[in-house]
Amino acid sequence: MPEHRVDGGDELTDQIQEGPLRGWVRVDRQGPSHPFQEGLELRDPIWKPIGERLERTWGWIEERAQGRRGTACLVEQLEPPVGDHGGQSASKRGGIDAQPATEGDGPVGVSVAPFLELTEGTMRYTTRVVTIAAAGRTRPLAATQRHHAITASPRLGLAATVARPIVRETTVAALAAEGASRDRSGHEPIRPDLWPDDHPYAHRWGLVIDLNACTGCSACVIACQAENNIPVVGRDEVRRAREMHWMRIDRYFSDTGDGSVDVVHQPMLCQHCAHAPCETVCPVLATVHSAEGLNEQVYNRCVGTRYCANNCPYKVRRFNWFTYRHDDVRANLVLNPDVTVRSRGVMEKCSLCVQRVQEAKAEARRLGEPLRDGDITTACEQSCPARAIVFGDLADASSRATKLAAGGRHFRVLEELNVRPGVGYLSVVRHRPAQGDDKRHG
Amino acid sequence: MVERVAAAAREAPWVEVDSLSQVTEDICRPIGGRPTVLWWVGFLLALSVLGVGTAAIGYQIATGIGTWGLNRTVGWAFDITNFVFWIGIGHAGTLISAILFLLRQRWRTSVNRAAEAMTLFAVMCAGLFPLIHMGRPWLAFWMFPYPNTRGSLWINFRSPLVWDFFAISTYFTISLMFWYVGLIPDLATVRDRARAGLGKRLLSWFSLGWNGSYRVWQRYEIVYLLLAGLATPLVVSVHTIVSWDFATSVIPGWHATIFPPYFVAGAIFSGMAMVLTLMIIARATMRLERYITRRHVDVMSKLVIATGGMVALAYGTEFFMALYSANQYEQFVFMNRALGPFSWAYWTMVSCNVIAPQLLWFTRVRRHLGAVFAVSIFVNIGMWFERFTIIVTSLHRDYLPSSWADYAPTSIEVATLAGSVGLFFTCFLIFCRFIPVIAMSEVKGVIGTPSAGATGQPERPPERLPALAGMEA
Repeated sequence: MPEHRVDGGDELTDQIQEGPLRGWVRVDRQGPSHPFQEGLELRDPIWKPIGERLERTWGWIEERAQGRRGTACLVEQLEPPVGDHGGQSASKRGGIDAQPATEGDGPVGVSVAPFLELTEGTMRYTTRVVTIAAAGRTRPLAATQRHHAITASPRLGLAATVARPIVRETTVAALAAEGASRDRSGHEPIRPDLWPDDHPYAHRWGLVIDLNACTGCSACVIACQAENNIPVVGRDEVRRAREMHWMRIDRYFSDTGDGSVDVVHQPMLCQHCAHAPCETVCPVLATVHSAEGLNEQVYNRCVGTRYCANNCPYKVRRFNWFTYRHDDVRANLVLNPDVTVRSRGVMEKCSLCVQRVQEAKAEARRLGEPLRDGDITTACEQSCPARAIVFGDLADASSRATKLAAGGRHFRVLEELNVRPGVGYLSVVRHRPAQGDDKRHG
Repeated sequence: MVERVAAAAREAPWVEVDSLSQVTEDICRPIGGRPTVLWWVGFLLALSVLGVGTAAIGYQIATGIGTWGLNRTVGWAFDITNFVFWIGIGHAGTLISAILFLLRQRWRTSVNRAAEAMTLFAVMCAGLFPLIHMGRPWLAFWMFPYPNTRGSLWINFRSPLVWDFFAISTYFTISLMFWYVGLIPDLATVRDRARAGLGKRLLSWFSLGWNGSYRVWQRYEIVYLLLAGLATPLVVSVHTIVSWDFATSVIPGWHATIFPPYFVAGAIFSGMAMVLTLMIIARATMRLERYITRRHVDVMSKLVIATGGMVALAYGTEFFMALYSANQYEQFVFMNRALGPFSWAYWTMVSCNVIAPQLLWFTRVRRHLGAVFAVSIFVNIGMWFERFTIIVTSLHRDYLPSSWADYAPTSIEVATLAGSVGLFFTCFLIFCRFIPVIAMSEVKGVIGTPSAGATGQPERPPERLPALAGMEA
């Protein structure tokens, strides 16, 4: 993953990335010029001229450091470095130009394609030295997660500053020390349970996500959005925390011990709990458990009480607040015909690409062959460049997912709630020379 | 028992009037007469607020829940806050009509009719919110377990929302029955005074041919007693079940075993406060000073401070349990409640529900109508914020910090809340015009003439004696 260096505090070497709903500048954590380490609080958007020709190109907006709007870097306005691409204007370079905003708040998203350069045979983002200047105004950010707040406000006492065991980290040395001595087969903790195990699973579909491999690139988020006809709700709705992503990349910080922080990216999606809190509370049985371990949302039956979303510890359920636009006939051609387009007032969430599961099962039946591990790939798994996501049958002892789940790094988020998720994670392994990791090289 | 009845008989009369017919005259005066200007002002105000609320609800149903300020993290806020608030208000009616009847609290006769009416209207307001908070309210009938052609599709009996549906519909039915049965003798009185016409025919029908005979009175007293017995468990059960909406969840701040008693105490607390608010207004505007005395206000204030104490204890217990649980999520939720972005709501709640009622320890305050009125308003506000605090502060920052979000109501939500207040007062003001606000037949059982009151021997109406004698033996 490319790093970007803060140089002298007012000159940046940038890399642009554009997520589905935001663009941002990434800044690495090196040196004291990291704005968060300095406690720098920028109240104005900052416009950074790129090169000599462009001014007011990048905007940074920070409201209060812990405030309700969070802090982030945002592509405020982007003008292409004209002439750098053999005279090609931005509009000729493809159809991903910014849509004009309907409100007076500036453009909604900006094409970063003009900043691509052909270097050594591959397209790369522009690398330039820029300077920063304040633009003198602010606007609320459209961000799906509070940015740059490393902990909750310490004002809230000890409980706010204690790290939550959501992401597990280990070191190379610790992992090696545990190593073979640790037998994790049958590591499922046995907890007293009021519910009978009434699901004699033929299959138990699940995912294992390797947090050590995940770079937080968000390809899975976009793949999921495309596969499952997830509405793109726009900037204003994102500001109201109503993005519809079934899959999201959660970002957490952890203390490295040397005054800096490490970042962990955690893809978060419906955990397909065997004892799902959402299923018990729905008054009309619109969310039910399948015989194959999936937590299924029945759109037709949903009346939209939102109780399921409230009771979800992972907050992965998404509600259709409005009728999202599907009136553009041409745009509708990109919709996946295998997936229902949801209407207003119903809940939706990750289905573990049940349409792909069904398709693979039907194909196996047609060929008269048993379903093999790997026949089914979810959209997120398929698109993950790091192969961090593995879909499989957890009831099949020989599947890759089961083997990964039996490994020493496997954990489940909020396992103590005993909701028995079908989605598991592999812990992050850090290289910490100070803690004995240099032995690895010896 | 005999001693207690004797003690009750020795008790100073709660209502002092010159004659039994004066009670009928005083209470029936507003019925059928021309409404006062004050009534018209109040009615038109309530009606226009109701109109604004109706427009807001219409817009919301036409456009989507997105017109509210909710988001992916905070899925309930004003809607369920209003629901629990109004259900809580309703509880005082049942308490006064059922439990206080069984406990032979004779002062209840002056307020039970209005309190029961208040219960019905509050439950109507409450029932509105589970309906309109749905994403697709036109499918609300799916909450009924009705036979259908969708295969084995049935409702989820494990869901607290289904329990809620049954609890509240039962509660409304029993409250309505209780209120109506208690009304029958008074309807007969109004019938006998009414001029011939449609009104009289309706009253004849609704008073079920009441003729005031000993046999009728005896049957009536037995039915009333049985209904009181039936309604008593409802005082506890309804808000217990409402609290399970939260207590059975896994969300820190909701998942608490203390919720049922905490909610029931809170409900009676808010209900008594609302009874005080309404009765102090009614007393002043409808010339009911003789029937709702400072002594009535005094005993109701004592109930307010008693239940307020329970609520305060629950607030403290919640914090202690969070600390004692050693559960970091639970601890965070409570620190966040007191010091986080919604701390203003939390401290509004504490100020209104814990601090303000402390004034009622003083007899002088309890007997000062203005002061009690002010405290009752504080409690009404505080109890609304209690439900807002429980719902919003628990949801907005739960387990995964990545999903934390804030919440702010939109104008549509505020208008909907105002509309429910408008509905409540519209119904109540109509009630004041057409139905005796005070249970005449019951008040006649506790009156004394000014002269008899001095000797401590209340005059008791002859028609109630056989029935009372039958039950008290």
